[in-house]
Amino acid sequence: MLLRKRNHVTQKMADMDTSIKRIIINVDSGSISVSSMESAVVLASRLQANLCGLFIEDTELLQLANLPFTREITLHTAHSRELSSRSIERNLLARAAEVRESLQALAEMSNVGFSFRTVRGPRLESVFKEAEEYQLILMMPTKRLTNLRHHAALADRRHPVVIFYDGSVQSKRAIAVIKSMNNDPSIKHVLALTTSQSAEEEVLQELPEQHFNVRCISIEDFSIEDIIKLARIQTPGLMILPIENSLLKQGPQLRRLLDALSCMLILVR
Amino acid sequence: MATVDKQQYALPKSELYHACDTSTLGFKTTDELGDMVESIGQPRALEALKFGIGIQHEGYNLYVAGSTGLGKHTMVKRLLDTKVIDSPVPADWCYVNNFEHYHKPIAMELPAGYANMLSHDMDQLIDDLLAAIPSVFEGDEYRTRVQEINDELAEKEEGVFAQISEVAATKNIVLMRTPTGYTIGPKKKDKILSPEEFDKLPEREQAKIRAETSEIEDEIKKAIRQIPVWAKESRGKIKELNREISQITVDQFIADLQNKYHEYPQVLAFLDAVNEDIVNNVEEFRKHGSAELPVEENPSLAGLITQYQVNVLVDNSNVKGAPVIYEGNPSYNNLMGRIEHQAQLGTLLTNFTLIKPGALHRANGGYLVMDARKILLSPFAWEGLKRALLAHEIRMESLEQMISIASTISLEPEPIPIDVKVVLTGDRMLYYLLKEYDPEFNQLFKVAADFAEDFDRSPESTQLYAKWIASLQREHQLKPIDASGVGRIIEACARKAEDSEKLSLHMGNLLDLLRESDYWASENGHALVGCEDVQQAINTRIQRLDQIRERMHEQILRDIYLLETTGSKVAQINALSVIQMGDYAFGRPSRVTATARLGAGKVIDIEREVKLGGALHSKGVLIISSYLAGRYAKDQPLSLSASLVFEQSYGQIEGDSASAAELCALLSALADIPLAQSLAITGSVNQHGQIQAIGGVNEKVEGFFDICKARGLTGDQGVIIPAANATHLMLRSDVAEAVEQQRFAIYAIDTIDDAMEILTGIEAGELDTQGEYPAATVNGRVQKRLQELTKIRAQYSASAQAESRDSEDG
Repeated sequence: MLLRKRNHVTQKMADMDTSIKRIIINVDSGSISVSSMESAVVLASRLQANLCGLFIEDTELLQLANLPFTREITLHTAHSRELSSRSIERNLLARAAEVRESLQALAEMSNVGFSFRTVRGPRLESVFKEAEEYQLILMMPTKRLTNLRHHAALADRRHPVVIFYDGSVQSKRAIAVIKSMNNDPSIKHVLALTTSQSAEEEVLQELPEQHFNVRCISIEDFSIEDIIKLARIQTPGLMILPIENSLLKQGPQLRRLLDALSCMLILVR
Repeated sequence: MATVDKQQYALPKSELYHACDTSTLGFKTTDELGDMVESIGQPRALEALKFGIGIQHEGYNLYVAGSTGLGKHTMVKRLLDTKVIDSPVPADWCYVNNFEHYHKPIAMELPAGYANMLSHDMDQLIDDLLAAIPSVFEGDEYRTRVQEINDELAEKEEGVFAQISEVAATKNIVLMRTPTGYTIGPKKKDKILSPEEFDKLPEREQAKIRAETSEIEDEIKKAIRQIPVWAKESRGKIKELNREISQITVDQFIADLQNKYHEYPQVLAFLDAVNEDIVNNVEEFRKHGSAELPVEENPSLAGLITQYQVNVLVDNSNVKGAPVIYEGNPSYNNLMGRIEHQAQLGTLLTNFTLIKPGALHRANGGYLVMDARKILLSPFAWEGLKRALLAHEIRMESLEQMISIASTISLEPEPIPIDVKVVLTGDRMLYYLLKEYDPEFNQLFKVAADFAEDFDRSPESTQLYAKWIASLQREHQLKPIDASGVGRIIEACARKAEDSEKLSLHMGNLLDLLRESDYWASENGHALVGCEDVQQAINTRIQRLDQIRERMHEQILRDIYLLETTGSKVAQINALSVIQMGDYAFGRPSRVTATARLGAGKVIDIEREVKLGGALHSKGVLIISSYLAGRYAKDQPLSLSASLVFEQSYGQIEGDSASAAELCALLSALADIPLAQSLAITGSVNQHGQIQAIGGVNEKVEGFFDICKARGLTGDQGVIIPAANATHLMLRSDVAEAVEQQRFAIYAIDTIDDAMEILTGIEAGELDTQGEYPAATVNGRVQKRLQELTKIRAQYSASAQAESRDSEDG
């Protein structure tokens, strides 16, 4: 009975198009680094997908810079200096160029199809707008910390990969992302938030024991609060969530989640 | 003139060769003889060695004096091997790193066998730590604790900015990130105020916003400035954590060694230093522990491991008793040890593992045996040895730095105390030179073991000698020797001693003879070595070496070198000399001539005039001059001028063994009496005309005999020798047989008068009460001639004075 059910599941999965062809990474966050860009390139290379770097020139920031008394406090020296929209524009341009150069070099070294876009607008809303054609959106946490865990290959027992699995296409794409890590020699620890028994079975079937150590937690609903609490307790090395959940499309909710995380967030379309 | 029968001076055959009576030896072959237990013929040296080895006071090192081949090394070895068996095994010595002063390695003394053990233990310790330290730092506990520290830092950072954000939010101020920092600004309903909206605000509102943003800005600055402080604290905590983790790990492994070596404070101190150093440099272990390259290809790892190694300088684990070290090449470095360097990227580097021991280190607690000449010939070695013995320690100093060849920084290893007895072997001359000119030698080498060259030949000593031969034969796995062979060997050894009543103690020569006799016995298909094999060995050895002798004799026989062996001549005589060519000597007859004329009493030694005569030879000629004056011109001036020369001699001449011949030639010239050319003479004469013993008598006799034999013995040929040398005769059998057949003769004389009687056949003559010699005697004719010369000289002198007076008056 279980075997027929499993075969049915496998067939059903095989009928869905879970391929990932386009990946976009948001690179304007203060926590972006060469490591995180490397992770994105590696992921794109293994999935044989194209990678696009997206730099958002936050209009709120530009607007703030227009105010007459606005000053910038530099991160390392605590030096305060006048801020103008022109200076912040230049700053953003320079930063965009720097990030683009790094990401391009990494992509070329791995023969990954690469493109780069600079867009001006509200940050999170612009990301979603620009990423409509992309199956994966890679986002960096808000924190600019030294212990940021954003290298996918570092997922281990203490910092598992957290996924939400409900059998949907997005879930399966999440599985595909995890499976792309199969080339790494170490066992990957996965914490799967599943919504049903069958979802749990699918996860276990898709992620074999010899490469993955899978732990399943059953949840009823997708809740940002629960996810944030989980992130604080489980300290994930990578989090993969479906984007179709309307909660994540809401800027504030996503911002709260990004504020709480210390790892890369992959939104799966 | 009264004639003299020279036969009164002739020696019988029995006195020409002291044969060994094999019938009294008491054995047929050496197989019947036991081994020699004690040494032979060296009681003085043996007692001195036993004394020198036994006495333990400072300065009682030994000098074993004697020529090469006397068995000095053999006896020293035998005595030392016996002595050291019951001696305690000395300590091991090693050098370890000085972690405080790298250029001053620390010396460590350990019981025998422990140095190697410690070395292995340290190697194992480092291997274990290279594996354990990285794994403990990769372990969950460490990473969790580091993560806790990092999380704490992160929480502080997050917390302060979150707090600032919260406070800002209450004041409707938003905190935003820029590419290089933070900025703040007012918001309204979650939207940033535009400049226009801001301008529309009341002045008070604007001022409030400015003030509040300024406050928030200050808070942000404060927070940013605090972050490095927190980061530093975090780093401090991580460092402390690293120290704690590494200390626990290192302690675990070192504890075993501390237990094992708990009785040795030096080792414990070393282990403590190692512990501290590893903990202070744990990053190196973390880095190298996971290194994939092996040590040989990883200089950095090799350098890390090296500083914890143990350089075993002296390992006495396999030594039974005290060490006995024979240093065959006692150079400074071989003696004192050396500090090696390695070239690395164009520079010379060294460390304590490159300290190498010398012979003094290895002999510490025991004995060091060396050749005196070799150490004296090695630059700085002798001074280094004395310095070590006087200071009772070995202080290793780079020779290159001592003589300023190299100015690279080198090591100053901690000196090692020594307790060693040095045994030098060398010749006697060297011993007395050192004693005379090196005051420190007297201080350090108080015991001389003087080896004899030969010992008395007697029936008892002959038996002992035979036993010695048997021992050597067995020791060197040679064929057994029958009694006739042993007898011939003994006779050869007496010949070697140049005395029929002595036997040579040169083991080297004896061993050579045994080996060569053994060879010829094999060649001849003999199971035993017999007399003929020994003789063949002797003959073939001579044959190998006597090419020069042959050439010289050929020159005589071909009359290229003039020498008469028949007839008689005035003022010409056959003298005899010995030519030493390595370890082969042969006699060579030479013509000596003399002239005598009116003069002022000078006897000219032509060899000395052209600087071909040595001091001893010149002394002999001066003695002749004194003899003449003392015997014939006591009351009158000696009015002759004489000259003496070795004809056709173009090399250096030394020694006074031809002075008798020279005097005879001179007397012949004065007396105008011919001397028999069928005779040769050897002997040294003193001022009273007594004939003194000379060396090489056998070779000299045989040298003249060979010439006469080659020309055909006439029956009136022979050699005149000092009577004191008769006991030294061990002539060849053909010479002895010729004497027995009266075809050749050996005459032994005591005075120059005896020599003149034999050479002239005329009585020498005795002084009468008037102080005159009978006219028809040799001395009478000499005296008469000298008186004539004196008169002639007086006449010349008187007429010269008269001429002088005439010229003054004139």
